[in-house]
Amino acid sequence: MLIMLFLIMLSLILALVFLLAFFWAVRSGQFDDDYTPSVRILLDDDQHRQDHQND
Amino acid sequence: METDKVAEHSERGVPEAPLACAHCGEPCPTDDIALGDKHFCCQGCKMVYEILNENDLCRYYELDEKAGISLRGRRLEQYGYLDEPDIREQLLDFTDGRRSDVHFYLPQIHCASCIWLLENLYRLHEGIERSVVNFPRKEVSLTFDESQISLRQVAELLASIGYAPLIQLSDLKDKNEERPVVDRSLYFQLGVAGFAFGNVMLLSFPEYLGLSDEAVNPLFVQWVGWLNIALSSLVVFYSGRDYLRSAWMELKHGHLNMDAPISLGILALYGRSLYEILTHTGAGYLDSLAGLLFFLLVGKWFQQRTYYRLSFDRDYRSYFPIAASVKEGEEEYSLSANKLEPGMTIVLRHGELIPADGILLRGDAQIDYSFVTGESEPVQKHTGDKLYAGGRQIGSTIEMTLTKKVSQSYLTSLWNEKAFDKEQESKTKHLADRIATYFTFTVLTLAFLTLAYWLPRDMSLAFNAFTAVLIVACPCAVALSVPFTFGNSLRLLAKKGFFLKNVHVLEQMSAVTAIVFDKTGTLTSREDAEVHFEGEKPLDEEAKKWLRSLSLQSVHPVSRQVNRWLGRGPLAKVRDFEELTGLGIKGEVEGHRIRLGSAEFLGVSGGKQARGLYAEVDGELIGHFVLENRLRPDLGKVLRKLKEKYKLYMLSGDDERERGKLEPLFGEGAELYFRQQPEDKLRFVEALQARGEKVLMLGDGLNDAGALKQSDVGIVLADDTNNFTPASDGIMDAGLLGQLPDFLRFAEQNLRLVYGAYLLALVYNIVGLSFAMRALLTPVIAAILMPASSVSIVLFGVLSSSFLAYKTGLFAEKAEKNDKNQ
Repeated sequence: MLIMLFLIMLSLILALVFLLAFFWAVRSGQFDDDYTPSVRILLDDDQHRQDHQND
Repeated sequence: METDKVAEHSERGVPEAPLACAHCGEPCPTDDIALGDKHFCCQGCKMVYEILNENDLCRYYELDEKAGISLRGRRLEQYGYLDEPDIREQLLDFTDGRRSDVHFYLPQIHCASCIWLLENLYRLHEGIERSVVNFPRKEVSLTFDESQISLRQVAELLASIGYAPLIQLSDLKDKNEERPVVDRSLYFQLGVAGFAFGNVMLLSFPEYLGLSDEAVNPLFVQWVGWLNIALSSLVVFYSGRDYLRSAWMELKHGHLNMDAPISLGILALYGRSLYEILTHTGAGYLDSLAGLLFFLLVGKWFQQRTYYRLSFDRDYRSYFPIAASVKEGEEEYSLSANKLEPGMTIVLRHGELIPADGILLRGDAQIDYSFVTGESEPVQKHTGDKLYAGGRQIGSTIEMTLTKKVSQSYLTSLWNEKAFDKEQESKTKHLADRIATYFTFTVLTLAFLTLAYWLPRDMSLAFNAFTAVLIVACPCAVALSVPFTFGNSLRLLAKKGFFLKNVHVLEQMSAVTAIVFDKTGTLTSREDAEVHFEGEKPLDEEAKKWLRSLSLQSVHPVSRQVNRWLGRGPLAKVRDFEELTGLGIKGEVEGHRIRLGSAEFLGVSGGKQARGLYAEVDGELIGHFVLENRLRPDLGKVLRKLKEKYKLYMLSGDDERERGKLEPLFGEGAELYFRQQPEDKLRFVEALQARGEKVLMLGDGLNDAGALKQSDVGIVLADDTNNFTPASDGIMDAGLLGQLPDFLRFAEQNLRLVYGAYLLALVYNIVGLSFAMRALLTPVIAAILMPASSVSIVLFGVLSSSFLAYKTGLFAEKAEKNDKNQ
């Protein structure tokens, strides 16, 4: 039965890691603006653009 | 004077088919302003293009075709006040003396190109280290190096590429006042509740399946029990603390709100479970507890969606400028508006707002009070006349002496009225809170009846049944139906362009009995005017061509309206074009001297007639254009429809000129009042409410602010939701006025849906109670019943309101343009 307790603790710790990751995401403002990042990702840097032209 | 730059002398050639400006895409009135094969509509646009071109930022134009912001007729913003240490300090988010953070509101942000350009600002000036755009809020956060660029220069840099930051008095933060921090606690609470809910549920599985027998595995069962207690304590005292606190606060004042029965349920669940686990008599209901709070918080999150840039509680400070130029002797310096004192002399340029009451000292004042008093036309003032705060000077530069402080001016003192007290907020009890009162008493009665029944028979069973009733009767489903049903409807309305402050407004809307309209800006459109020409003989094609060519040169709203009325057609070259601010325009077209302007400009004497825009060819008056406020389309139909159900009133700050036009629209017996001061409007709404009416007020200006606040539902009509709107319960796209009756009906039907959801919740409660009162409520039944009822209420709420919206056909076509404003 001890192994069960061990596994439960392990799963809890894992869940806790996810919770902390969520906290970090909220605190860093990722939930404040859910629109701009979706646009920003589509804008390449100029560096990339030149690479394309060289292709 | 910078402002007088509007008056330019130039010879302009007009192409037959207007070229599109390479910067902003607007038609070019001339082909003279060019750079290579690129044409521009004005010098401003050309300059921006040059700046971007030099810095290799022309991708701006590739990302979005009409990226550029037209600079035609734009007044150069003055940012001198940003050098003032106290203003600077209050605007900066952070500074360590060298590196500073600031955020600016840029209403011009509109497309992906804007994001790209603003986030590449560091390429324009190396003093800028970082710039991040928040698109929905139309804000840019900047980190800059003070040793290389000052705050003022940052603002001027932004203005130079067409993104002039809008800085208002409300941006000044009081030093002692806490800086508004984004409230993210709901996310944290939701995260904790979700985390605990999942784990507690998982740990409770052996219990559901009957696998955990304390006699067999005492260690395991106890361990799990302790873990569950730890997890759910977090949920109760962290995630659920707002419910407990709110219930307690209300109870202290002798009220019951919806949080009272919820807290009762939470505490009963928690207490009973603690008791069971600690006395080794059972596993408790901690899984149900965590689930309950998780669902409640999801509901709260769902209804608490904010519309970013839309603000429902703005006061005059969001409309007033942050600073004014004070004149002392021959010196001029800018001073933050909060520090203006009576006796100071200030200088106002074209388009600037009067910050406080005062007396005109010098200059030709044409004051546009339309936003403040509702008067639709600018008022001419003479030296020695009183000027009221909130008016906008049009034309030349004036000087005035202040007689009042900003906060004590005639208009701003409206905000000292009782209606603006925070205490007033909860003047009516919300539906859910009204129900909560009955609910709590019923639950407590039932619980004690059960206790009384079981007590003589079995002590421990009596205690079990008593707590079980409290647990099962927890109005979780009831508490969820409003957030999800109304919350979903709110989203649908927002998509359409009608933004409500919160779910309670929808509830209030369904109870409305009287509707009060404002005139200027509400019944009539502020920007769009009805034009017709009055002259000896109608305009011939020749004259039309001349006037069209001339009026195209000016960006003044009146010239634009006349130009629109003249329609598309042939154009001719304009020579010696000159615009005299506040008076009119003149120029030479095809050898004829054309003048277009006010009666004063052309030297026409005339009493009432003098309102229009006069046209003169070669020194001969050919007639004048009359510009009338255009009533919103479909107004007659809407008013007729509304009249069937509601009492209609109209309050206008304007004179009675348009009574004859409006009375037939309102029909017989309607009450129309003119020359209403802002305070009169507030009193009028108060008087209606004293008669027991539920008042919906539709307005738009600062002068309606008091009445909007006082009324049960105050809705602001906005042509552009980026503009200032006074405090209100809702903001509606002006084009939607025609659908007001439908929206009101939609609100009523929504209320019925909530009643339906309540009925559903009641069924669950009765089923649960039948178990609880017989002392048969096992953790498994609770664990099934609780989520089942919550989920079905959520589904019912969302699906039924979506279906209702679909059925009414209100939301058939989605207004795409409003997506950006959400």
